[in-house]
Amino acid sequence: MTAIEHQLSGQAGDLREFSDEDCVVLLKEGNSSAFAELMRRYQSRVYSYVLRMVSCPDDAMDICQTTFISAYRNLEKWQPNALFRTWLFRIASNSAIDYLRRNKLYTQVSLESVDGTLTGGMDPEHQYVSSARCSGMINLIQQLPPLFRQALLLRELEGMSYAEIAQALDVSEGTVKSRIARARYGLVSGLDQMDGVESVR
Amino acid sequence: MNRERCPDFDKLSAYVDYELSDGELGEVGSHIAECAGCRRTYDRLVQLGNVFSVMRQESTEINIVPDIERQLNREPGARSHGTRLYGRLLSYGLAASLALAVGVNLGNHLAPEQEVKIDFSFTQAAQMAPFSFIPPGSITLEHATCFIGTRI
Repeated sequence: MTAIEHQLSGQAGDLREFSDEDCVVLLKEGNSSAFAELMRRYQSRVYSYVLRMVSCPDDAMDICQTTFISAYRNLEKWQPNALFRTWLFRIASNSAIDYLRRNKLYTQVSLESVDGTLTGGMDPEHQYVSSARCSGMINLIQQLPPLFRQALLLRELEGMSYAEIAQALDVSEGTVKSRIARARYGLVSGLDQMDGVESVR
Repeated sequence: MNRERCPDFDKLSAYVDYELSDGELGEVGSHIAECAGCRRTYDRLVQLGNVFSVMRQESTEINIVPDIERQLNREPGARSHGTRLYGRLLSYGLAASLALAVGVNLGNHLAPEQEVKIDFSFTQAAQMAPFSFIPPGSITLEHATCFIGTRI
């Protein structure tokens, strides 16, 4: 008996052992707790990504909620051959881009406005990096073109491969490679200017 | 070092991400080991990755599950056990009502005509006075008012 059949047989099971795609199948079968499990898995990750896209915590929270509600309503459109994660981040990316186009807001987020601390539990080297670099980096990220920004954030924050990013953004892998490189070039140049170091080639 | 052989920034960026073929990874790696300029650029890309690593560790924990569940449960057709149970009970109730209506209708047609007549007029109901504030048999109630309607 497969994991899904086991769940559908009515026995209470821990959904944490199920893959994202299994949870979607369970959800389509009427198990609403599967969607709660998916939200628990991705809510903070989607929020973190959207926060870096729009730079406003309150708006990021709204977009995050919109993303999950949209995912729920459009669940029938999800194809089993696609990863749920890339599909979800595609919705989040589109929502964030829509927001940016609608509002043209490029306000900067302060580190204090984010819940929690940046340096808790980190080693001294990371603490130095965070205090010296993160605030400047966040400012630089906000100055990147949104299309470059989203590709880089999906790579750096979500650890997606170029193929997954291409699927999430509906572009070719070559485009992903180019966007990430251009975004990095902008950030490295910006950090070099902050440090007074000669810029990269 | 011959700069014409240097990989462009796109390739160095992809090298950091291990998004090159095995042959290209080896080629770029060997070049970086020899070329000071590319080595510096590579180091900057690695430092950039370290900053993102710190950003990944920030606490951005949120809990929007209750809010979203509340919103979705208000929607018609929400995929929830509660709604399914409610819909099932509603369908049972409708089926029972339909069966009762059909049964009464058939019964009226099949049963022989009898001389039972029930007067549901207002006066008859008033005689019953189910909600009267005067208790039954009260001496304050005049006899005539007990029969304000027509008797059958």
